[in-house]
Amino acid sequence: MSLAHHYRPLECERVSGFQRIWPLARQEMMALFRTKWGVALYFVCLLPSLGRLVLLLIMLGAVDLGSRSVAGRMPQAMDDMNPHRAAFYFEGSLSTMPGMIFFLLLTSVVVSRCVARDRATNALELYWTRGISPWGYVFGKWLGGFLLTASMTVGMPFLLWITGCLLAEDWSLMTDTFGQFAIGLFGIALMTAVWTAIGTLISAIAPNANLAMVAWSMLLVGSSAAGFVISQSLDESSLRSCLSFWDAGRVVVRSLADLPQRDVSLPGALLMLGSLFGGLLLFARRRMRVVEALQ
Amino acid sequence: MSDTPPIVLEFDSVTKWYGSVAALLDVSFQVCTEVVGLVGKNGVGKSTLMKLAVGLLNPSQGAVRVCGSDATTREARARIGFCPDFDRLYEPLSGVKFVAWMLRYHGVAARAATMRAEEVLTELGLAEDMYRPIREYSKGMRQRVRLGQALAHRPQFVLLDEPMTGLDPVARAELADLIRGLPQRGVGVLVSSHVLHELEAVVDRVVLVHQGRLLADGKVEALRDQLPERPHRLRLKGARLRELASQLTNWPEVDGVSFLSDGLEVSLSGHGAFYQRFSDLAGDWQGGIHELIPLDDDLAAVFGYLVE
Repeated sequence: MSLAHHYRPLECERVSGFQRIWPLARQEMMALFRTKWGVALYFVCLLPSLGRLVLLLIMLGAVDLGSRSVAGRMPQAMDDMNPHRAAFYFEGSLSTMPGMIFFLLLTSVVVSRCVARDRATNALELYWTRGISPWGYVFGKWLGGFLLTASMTVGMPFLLWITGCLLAEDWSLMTDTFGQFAIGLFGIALMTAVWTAIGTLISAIAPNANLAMVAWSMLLVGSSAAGFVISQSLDESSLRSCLSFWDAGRVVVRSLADLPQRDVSLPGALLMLGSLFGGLLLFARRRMRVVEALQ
Repeated sequence: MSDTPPIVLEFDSVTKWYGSVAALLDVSFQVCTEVVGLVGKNGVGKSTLMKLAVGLLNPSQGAVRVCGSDATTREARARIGFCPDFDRLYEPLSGVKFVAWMLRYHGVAARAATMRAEEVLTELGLAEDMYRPIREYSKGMRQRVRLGQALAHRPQFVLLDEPMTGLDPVARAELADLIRGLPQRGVGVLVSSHVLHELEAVVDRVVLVHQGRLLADGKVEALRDQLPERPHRLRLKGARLRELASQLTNWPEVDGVSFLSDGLEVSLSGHGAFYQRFSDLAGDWQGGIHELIPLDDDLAAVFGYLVE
């Protein structure tokens, strides 16, 4: 071991804060693909979208099962199974099954562990002696998790829609669905950002990665189950979106896309998401006090 | 031009309170381009001192400066290299990717970061293994990666927390050489370690922390000399021990002599004068003096005396 070169200040370009944070986000985004199990998990999470792709190919006649006419004659109640309706492309990302389950599968491995894993290994101190602030670090972690999750919740519906537009007999599918689809996709991107932010904040609070994963899973599934049970037992359907942050997000997206919904409370859903996010933000702020000097 | 070496780390009357508990009380010391050892038992404020030194904590009173800048500023952080005491790095990444990645947080562009990472890991003896995943590395190789990320951005102050942990004797010797060489390149080093004899071999001086206070700051020999109430002890082995003992007891700088199973233990009040006089005696002693070992001149002994 010898440092043969003379010590001299390292010449480096001044770069923006985001350029320092981006490698962190990129690392977080690509971490899943560094192991074969991670790659397998990602493709498992794409299965619902691949299922929709098969359905799309059948419905639009690319795979000839004689069902081309079925797509045109589907009742409005089955909009989310009709490729000529915008809901077909993004409803899968919002459904409890399979949407929430595969969202949980992906985020419990990536998002919920991101900060807690570094805290458990004392790697946080290593980051904070660098040129990034603690909140810059949390932002980078969130951004990486968000981009990976959005590739499933936003990217796959977009690819499905493009495929549908290209396979359709004319451009009417594109012109008819574009507006609603774009707003719906924006809504899903927004909700993916909020959901992954909640997961990242839980990770910032938890003492280790496994606890963070358990807490995140329990919050996501538990709040959804509690919302369902309580709303059923009180016969008050609108309570569901006020108790479950998954259902709250779903209500927000459907409202944005102007899709029909019954017995839901948009203000309740927004309040639920806002209070959960705000509460977790306060806890995370307290939890990261060790870096008081950098805040 | 002044010959005074530049101060890379300065603690100026630093006090740190956690609520009503004082972790550090009025601590002042400086680190120039030299290797300084940080010694203290667990729970005496050593970790707080290290966190203050790398800008992770704000002092409640006083100031911590790195190369003249407040330790919490970005200017200071660009000059700090931190080698923490943890072993779990990003296992799937290669050593070179990890170091390059850390460099990018300092604002180094991707290509330049990779080149610099390759350069520093080659210098640290990882040229052949730097592209392998970290999960395949031995403890010594991991330690080099940790050190690499601390040195890659060419800091002026480096904090090494337990750098010898887990290394085999050869790797320890290599690392000690490397640390000793850093001041010649304009780097000031603060090393924390519980392995006092290894620390002593590396450092120019030590800073002793006890119960939140700076107990001592200086070279080990100088600190030892400042403990007159503790007579120096040494062990002698040689021929004609009885005659030697009777002769030594007449010397004014010898406080006492006791017999061991295979030698003598001598207590000294003035060890400088003793060594001068003893070298003349040993040269003429029939049968010879085979061994002369100071028993309490090392860092461990000084530390023990000071914290008692």
